Amino acid sequence: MAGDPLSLSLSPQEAKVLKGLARQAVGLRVPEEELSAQLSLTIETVRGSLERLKAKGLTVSSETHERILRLSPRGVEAREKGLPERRLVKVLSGGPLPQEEAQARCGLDGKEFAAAIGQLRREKALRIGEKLELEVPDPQGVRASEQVLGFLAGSEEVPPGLLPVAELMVKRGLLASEPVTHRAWSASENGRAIADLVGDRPSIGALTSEHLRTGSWLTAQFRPYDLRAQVPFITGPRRHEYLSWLREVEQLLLGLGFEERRGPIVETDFYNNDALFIPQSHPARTAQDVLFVEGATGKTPEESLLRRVKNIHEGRPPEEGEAPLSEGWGGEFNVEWSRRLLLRSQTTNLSVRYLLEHPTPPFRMYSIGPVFRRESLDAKHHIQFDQCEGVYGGEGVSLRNLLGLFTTMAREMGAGEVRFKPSYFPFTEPSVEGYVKHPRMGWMEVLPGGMFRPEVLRPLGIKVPVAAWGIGVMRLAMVSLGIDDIREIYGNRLDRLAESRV
Amino acid sequence: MPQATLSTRTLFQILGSEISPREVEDLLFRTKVELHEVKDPEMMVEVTHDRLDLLCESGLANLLSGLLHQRPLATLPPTLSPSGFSVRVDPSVAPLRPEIALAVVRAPEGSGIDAGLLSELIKFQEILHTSLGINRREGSIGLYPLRGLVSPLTYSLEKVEGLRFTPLAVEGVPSSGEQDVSEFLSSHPMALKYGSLGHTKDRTLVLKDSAGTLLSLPPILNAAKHGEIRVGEKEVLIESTGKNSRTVRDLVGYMMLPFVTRGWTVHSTTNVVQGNGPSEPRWATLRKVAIASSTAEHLLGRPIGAAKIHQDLMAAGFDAEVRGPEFSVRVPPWRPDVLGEVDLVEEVMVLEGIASFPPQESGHQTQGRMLPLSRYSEKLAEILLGMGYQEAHTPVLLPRDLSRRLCPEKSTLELSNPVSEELSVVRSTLLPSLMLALSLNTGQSYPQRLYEIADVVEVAPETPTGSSTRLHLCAVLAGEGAGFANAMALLERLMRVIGSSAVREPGNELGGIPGRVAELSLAGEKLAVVGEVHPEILVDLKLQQPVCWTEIDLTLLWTLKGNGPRDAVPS
Repeated sequence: MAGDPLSLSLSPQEAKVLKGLARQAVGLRVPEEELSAQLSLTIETVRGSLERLKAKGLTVSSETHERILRLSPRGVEAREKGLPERRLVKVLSGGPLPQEEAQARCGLDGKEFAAAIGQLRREKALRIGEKLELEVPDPQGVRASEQVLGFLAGSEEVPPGLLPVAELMVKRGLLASEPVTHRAWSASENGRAIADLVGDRPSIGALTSEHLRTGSWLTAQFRPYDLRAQVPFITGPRRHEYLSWLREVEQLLLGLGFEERRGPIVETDFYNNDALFIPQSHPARTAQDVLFVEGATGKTPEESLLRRVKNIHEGRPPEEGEAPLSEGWGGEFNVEWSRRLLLRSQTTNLSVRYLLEHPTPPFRMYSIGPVFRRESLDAKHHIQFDQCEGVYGGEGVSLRNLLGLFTTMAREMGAGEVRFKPSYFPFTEPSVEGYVKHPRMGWMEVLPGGMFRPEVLRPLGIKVPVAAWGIGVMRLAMVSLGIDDIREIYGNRLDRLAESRV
Repeated sequence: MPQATLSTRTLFQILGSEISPREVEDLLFRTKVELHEVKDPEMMVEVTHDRLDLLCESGLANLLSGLLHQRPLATLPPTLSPSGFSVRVDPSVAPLRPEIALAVVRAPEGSGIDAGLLSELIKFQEILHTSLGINRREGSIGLYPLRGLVSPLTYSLEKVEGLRFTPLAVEGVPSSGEQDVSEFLSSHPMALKYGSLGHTKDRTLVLKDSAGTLLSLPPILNAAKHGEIRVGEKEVLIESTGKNSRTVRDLVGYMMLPFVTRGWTVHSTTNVVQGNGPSEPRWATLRKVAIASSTAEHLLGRPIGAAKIHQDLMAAGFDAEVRGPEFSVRVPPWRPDVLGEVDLVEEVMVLEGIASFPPQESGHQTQGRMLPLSRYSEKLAEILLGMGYQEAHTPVLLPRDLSRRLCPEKSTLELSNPVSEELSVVRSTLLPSLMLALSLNTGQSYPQRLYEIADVVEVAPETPTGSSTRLHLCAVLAGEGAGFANAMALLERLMRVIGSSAVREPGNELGGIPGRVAELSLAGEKLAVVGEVHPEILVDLKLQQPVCWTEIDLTLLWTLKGNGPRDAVPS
């Protein structure tokens, strides 16, 4: 089939030629003319097939070069009318003649006449005086030239003895000399193997519905393809590489018994900070770091929840008659701040909202979603990045379980050993940071977490210990996927996404 | 995180022994200190925000001594002896910088400030100024030789006119002798830097003693003679002024540490606020925090024993009286990070070493599950992928101008303090995000198909967050021939597999070609929009191909399909 990308498919003629060659003794080269005769195919068909088979690596050829002589148009004319020198000899055989008369009688033009004189002079057969006079009646050279013309006119080879004469006639333009290449062929090793596969049944290139409908494929044979041939470049749509990576993290968490939560991106300061016991004076709560929403406020939470959180921040008993949980942050808690709307700076707001649902212990919850900080934009930082976080609560849950969870996560992500170091987060105590070793970047802090403080749990009415963790998944994904610039994740370049590694 | 460069010589001198850099590194990995570099005679450390006490040689020496020798270097008696010094706080300071705290420190017999202590004090003071003091705005510290000062001091806001002052020489600015305060305030580099925190138009904050000696102009600079600490000094007054009492108390508390670590004693002072009578600072009697050993064992996950917990806390510098499994410890003034019981639990963890709490898989069985809406949207994603749409991931924030042209203004929230115009509006539909994604792909072959399933935020004044975070699905097709029919065909395909039929009505969505936008409503609510993007927007985004889009509110769809509130996105 024309344009078949698999060029190894053999046409019927190619198959015939290849089989013909393969029948020959190993090492024997067969001239193409001979092959043409043997296979009853035209020489053109045989040559074409042999060339295509050679391109496929199925045949090899060797060449011999020679020259053939034939009559040029002037040679043909000389054969018919006689050589110029013969014509001159003829007119002079009757006796010497003046030049002009001799030329007129033999009917040669100036150039031919000069050539005729030159030839006869070379043979010392002509004396040039006032008249032209023949000294040898039948010059041998003229006869030899006529013999050459005779051989070639009769399609005979010029005998070796006459070849010097023929060379001179080539120079005179009476003969044409052409190089000729003779090629002899044999099948390559691969060609012999393929020839064995090619049967005499009709062969099929691309399988068509007609083959199937008619059943013709049953008696046909399938032409083998060149399995190394180039094929067309195809590409296509798929999942975003980063989101695919996140889905793997999600699968890991689902396998570890975590249930998913989603929630508000625009959040009140209460759930983003106050409920997490982050002091209102904390530098990260200012407009330097947090993105606030223009011209809109939210609602304060349920009154008793707000009261407990306020009391705890101020270092007072959560409820009248109780003991204070801790020193708190001192100063006066500004209730107005609780209503401020901002883009959540951490997904921990979802942990607070989840715990407010009072899940039955033991419980495990995860969320993955965007968080926002007022970073300046560069290759490593964007205002928006994703956080993956979760809580794990229940009777007897301890820091060791959190470390166990981190160890499992690191193992499942293929990160190997985890080292733990004490850390600090306003809403957990004790707090830890898990480090994993990256082959290129050394120890990296990737697994922060801790046990929620009583100041967080008490107002929410949670009575069991709760381990909380939050992973900067975007940074981890960049390291894991080899992405150097965070903007590539949001760039959605189609060729990159289509060809990203799985 | 806050950092400091510390002198290893001073550190080892205080510690009483030298330890190898390797050993320092191993010990500090067990703590909240991150060691960046040890290069004799200096080391660079970074600490977590709660442990500013570790940003001086004394703090680090105390920590290492606890870990190595199970004993702290700095201890205080339960109740400090009074110094006899007091400060009268004039009500005039209230609007500008209302709080002041003082403490007096005295050297042990035959001792005094040496070069190591002086250098540590100067560096530590500056670190506290920038960190906790937030460049002196929230709080600042002054140190004064006590000799020659006459109690009570007065902290007041005084008229600048007629006030004279000899500024302390500071780095790069030698003392210029006595001058008018007005001149000082308008010309001295320190006044130009911090002056706005300490004076109004014609008045300035002043600290002076009963003899009328001017000690300093808080928070700008001390006076030359009475505000300069020199080697050999045996009695020092530590002062802090600031906006709130907690900050000034903590600043003075931190500054005690280098003195107490070297055996100095601390003595309390009295504040007299007009109309309120005298008050003692809170550290006159060290505050107590109770701990039950069971809390530590439960949180940390293994038996430790009350005696061991007691020993650990003593080693960490908390004086403890044991009364069985529950006891109280006294918290020194330089450990304001200890708010309650759990902070002591963390101290136990550090002293025991995290490595002694091996990770443990829990025996709890819980069921992992995605939200039904997430599972549902995954199924729709599969359909879109099958139809040749590439998944995209775009930011939630949009350029203001694009949002105004594609998102209805009344349902869209803007930021009050955006970092750039490009990221200043919270998207209320996904279309603009995908249009931007297309505009970043103009060099690629067409047709292009993109989809995204992600959150958008709509204004919803009646909800607690003033907004509603909703899951949307949007698909765009760009290329020759992309038009309304493609978008509608896609929507109909999705609606068929969703199993809903909706009413098709003409829409007037922003950004669409008039007459080529349709809305689909279900139960009277707008569920989906399809249409052709207006060429004005295409041209602005440098897109030379027609674009059509399909957008569905999946949160609404899910709710209308009769699913419980648990599955909806809470707002």
